[in-house]
Amino acid sequence: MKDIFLVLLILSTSAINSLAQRNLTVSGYVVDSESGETLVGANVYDVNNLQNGTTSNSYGFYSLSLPEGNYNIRCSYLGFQNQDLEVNLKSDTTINIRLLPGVMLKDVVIDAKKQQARKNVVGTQVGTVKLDIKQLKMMPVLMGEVDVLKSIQLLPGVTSVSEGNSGFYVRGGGADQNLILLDEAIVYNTGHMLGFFSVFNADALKSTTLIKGGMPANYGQRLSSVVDIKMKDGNDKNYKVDAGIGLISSKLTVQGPIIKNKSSFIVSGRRTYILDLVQPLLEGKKFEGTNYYFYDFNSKINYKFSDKDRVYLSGYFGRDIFKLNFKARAFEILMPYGNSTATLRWNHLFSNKLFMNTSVIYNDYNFKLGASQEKFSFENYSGVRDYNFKIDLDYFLNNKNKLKFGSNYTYHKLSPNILSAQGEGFNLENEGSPTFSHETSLYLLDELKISDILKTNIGLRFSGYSQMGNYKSKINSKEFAPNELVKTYFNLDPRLNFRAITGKNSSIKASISFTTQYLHLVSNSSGSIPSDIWVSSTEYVKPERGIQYSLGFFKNFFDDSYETSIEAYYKEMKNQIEFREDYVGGIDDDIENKFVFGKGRAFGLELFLKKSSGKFTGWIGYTISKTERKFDLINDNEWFGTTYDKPHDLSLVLNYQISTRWNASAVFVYGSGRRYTPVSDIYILDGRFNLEYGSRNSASLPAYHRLDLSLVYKSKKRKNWNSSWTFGVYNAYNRKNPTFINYDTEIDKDAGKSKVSASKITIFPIIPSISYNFSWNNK
Amino acid sequence: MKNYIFIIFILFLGFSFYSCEEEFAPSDVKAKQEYVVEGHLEASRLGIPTFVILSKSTSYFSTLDSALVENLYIDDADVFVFDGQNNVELSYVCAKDLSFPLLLKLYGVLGNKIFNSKFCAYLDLDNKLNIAEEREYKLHIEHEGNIIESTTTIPKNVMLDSLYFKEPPGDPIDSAAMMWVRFSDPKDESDFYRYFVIENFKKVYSYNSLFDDMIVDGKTIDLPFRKPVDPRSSDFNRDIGFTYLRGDTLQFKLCALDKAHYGFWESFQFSNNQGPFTSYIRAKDNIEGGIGIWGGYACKVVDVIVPMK
Repeated sequence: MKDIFLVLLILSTSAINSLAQRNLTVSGYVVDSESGETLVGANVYDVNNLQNGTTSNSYGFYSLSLPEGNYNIRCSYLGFQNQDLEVNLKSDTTINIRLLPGVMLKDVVIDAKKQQARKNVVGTQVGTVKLDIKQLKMMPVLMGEVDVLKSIQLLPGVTSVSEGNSGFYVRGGGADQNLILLDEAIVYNTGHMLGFFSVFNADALKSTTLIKGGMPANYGQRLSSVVDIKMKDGNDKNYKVDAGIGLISSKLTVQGPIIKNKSSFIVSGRRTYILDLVQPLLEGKKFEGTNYYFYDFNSKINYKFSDKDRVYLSGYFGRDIFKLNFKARAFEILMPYGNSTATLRWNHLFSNKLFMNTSVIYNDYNFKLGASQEKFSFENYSGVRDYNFKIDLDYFLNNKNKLKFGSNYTYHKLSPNILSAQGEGFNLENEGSPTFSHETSLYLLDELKISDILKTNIGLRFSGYSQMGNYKSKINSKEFAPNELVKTYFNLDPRLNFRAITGKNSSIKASISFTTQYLHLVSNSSGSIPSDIWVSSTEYVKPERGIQYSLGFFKNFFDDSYETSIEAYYKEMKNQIEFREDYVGGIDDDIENKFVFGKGRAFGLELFLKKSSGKFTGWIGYTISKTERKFDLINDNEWFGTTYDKPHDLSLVLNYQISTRWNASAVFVYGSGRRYTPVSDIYILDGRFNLEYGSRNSASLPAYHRLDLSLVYKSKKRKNWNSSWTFGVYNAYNRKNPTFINYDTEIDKDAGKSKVSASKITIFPIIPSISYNFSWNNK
Repeated sequence: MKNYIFIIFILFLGFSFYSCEEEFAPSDVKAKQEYVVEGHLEASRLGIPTFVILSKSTSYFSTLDSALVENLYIDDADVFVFDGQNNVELSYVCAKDLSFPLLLKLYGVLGNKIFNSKFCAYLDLDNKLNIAEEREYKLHIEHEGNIIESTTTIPKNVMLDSLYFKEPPGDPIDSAAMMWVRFSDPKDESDFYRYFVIENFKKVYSYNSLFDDMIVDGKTIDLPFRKPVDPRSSDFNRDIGFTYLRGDTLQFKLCALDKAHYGFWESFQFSNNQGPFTSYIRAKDNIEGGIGIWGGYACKVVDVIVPMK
């Protein structure tokens, strides 16, 4: 730890020294000229000296420092035409760069793609992948629903536990150890329909970035990875309508200017209807009124007060509703659950070198399960609610040194398992009550180019967490009053990313990152489901701590047309939480009594080859890995593989642009079968045969593999109208991949014999899909 | 329970499009062949003798015919129960050697299998044990050099105030009634309950009939008590659901049990399935040197005929 402080000190000194150099600054926003959307991660550089370059930050702002003189500044961004600017730099200058979508000039678009690919070699980040939403829309998906999180599962180092589930596991971390942000708001539940579909409507999204290793210091609160999703800002030039009709859902997005070039809005909604269609068939039947549907709604407005001040207000609201109605017995079950988020953001430029983002964020996830029969009813409620305030500052010291620092405060309210029941003459509640806590953090990171060969991204994140009453101590039985401080934790997380150029097109990168997590999702399910509960760190439940080491070799071939990488990682995790093996998922006043605590470790090697330019694009990723956990009270304190421990995991994603109208895609996945706990014995008790289980996760299902295909046909372009048909086949060769194993006892009374048998249950066979998408604009 | 609601959810959704089931041969897993204890003590007016059924588990892959099942039972163990004063050895007795009144008493707990002549168990035939509330009982078994031990308590009895019937909820149905029970839960203690229903001296039901006092702590309360029948079994009458047929003779038994005993049945009833989303659940036994349960009950018993309308 002492060494890391020493390095920080040296870097700070270097930063101060660099202040002494006299440079002028070109700065501004990079935006899409057609929609006014800010572009994140655009390259801005001096064509004659590629070392003088920078990228736009998360909010589209760039700042490039150069000595006085004449420059040819180029801006490039994936999917857009390059823009070259002649700049006679005599004083600090603001230039907002407007890039044209690159549909006309293929060569410059390819050049932009290659620039993007070049980051694979020159960037400091290890294990960071930016997903192209346009490309995602071409990929074959389950029932035609474009899904960001399922696409993430196709990257090396990322696995899923069960078919169709949008829950994912990064480099051996748990599903709750991914920081999933939608416009900076944490999304606690990412799945609709038990996770078969993600809560993110791709039509409303601008960008998605996955960080699976070397997490920069501006991110915290989770142990394993970051998925940073940004919503579109809304078109500030023209009105635009996008809509899609699919097999199970339809969606509509409307965006346009409120005040042209100054303010815009976007609203986007999606709803399923497949079971609405069967409602007429249920009329007069036993289960009349039974239904399930989900919907989500995204909206955003923004206002540019000046070149220095912009304000954004965005929100998300989504719900899954399941209703089971048994009319004859007046019995009803109602299960609504979902997320709500709201983000108010203010971007302010103090100078052309100092950029500030301030956000006030609200997010809420709640799960309710209610049942009623005439006058008797009960309701079970679990939820998380956060109020969050954060400030992030980017200080572009010079082209060699970029500082980022900020702070974050979150007030958490967690409600695990609140139960109430009402009936004739009684109104009852359990003793479960919400828990409250304060989480704060401060961070500093420095992206420093030490030489043309060496570059580092070094950071430090300090966090504190205070558990507040009411709470009854399990250690000394002390009862804490509401808002009384129970326990405070402090943690320091150093982060170091390092890159060394090893040749014209190759580099070595390494990273060490410490991480801390104070909220935990505890699950007794084999995957992750919406009823899983989030719990707080307390005096009894310690914060999770993690450390990850990554080392990678990155090389591009054929003029940056092909990106390749080999990355190795090793990760250790402390204070991991599981339910006891006898936990039945019931409702308990004191859920902490049901936990067991242990540790985890994971290591693996990831191979990645990607081609991002030309008619034929795609990637192949392969991971060989091992992921284990160890708990005192599980498996006799021996290490065991997790359910998502897949020694071999292969994904192949191919896309072929047949013509301007036709596009074909294919996805093939192969992975080791999911681990499960097998039945070892049967025994007789209570007058029947019963199952006794062997060691935890000591058996595996057969290997999983699947091929998905899709074909997109774009209708002839008209002035204001575009449309396309997407035809898809999920599981094209109808592989019967088992989702789970079912045990049953077959009794042959005539023969006086019985046999316990196992069968594998497959949920997803070959599933064709078709969807129609269209867009209109008033250009 | 939430996970089980999810299973309904899944049945309704996922399987509505498709599901395919194929036989699966799991890789060989070494059988543990553990001792299995099913031991019962009961303080109630029924005078049910304390008994222990001792057997061994067998490989999951076994084909179970009557000979193999018979061989699972252990008839040569030494079984002792210590009640704090007396250390009583239980006698190994088979059904054919028991008196009919005694068989009837055991029937109330064990059901039909007691009438199988091959059924055998270790019994406190002469009622030497002092069976009383708020008392601890130690079980000690020796077999082929192996020691199996456990401890349980019989807790304080339940305050069952009254039992009555009302119209079932929903559409009127003349032939059935819903059972309601008024009982009082002691304040500031964690209390655990299980109930049994014997219908017309023929069927014993206790499926999913456990509950605790999480929301009724310290209260006198009237609650509906559904018939504890497994909805997947052939005994389940879909027309009346979990209500009771009018005119039937019922023996209703509401028992208090200690936390470990409750914990076993709670986990046991969910331990036989590993669904698409639920993890496996291992029954939480209270046996050292084996698996199963050694459990005490304090029970109130009510005999009642479901009134005609």
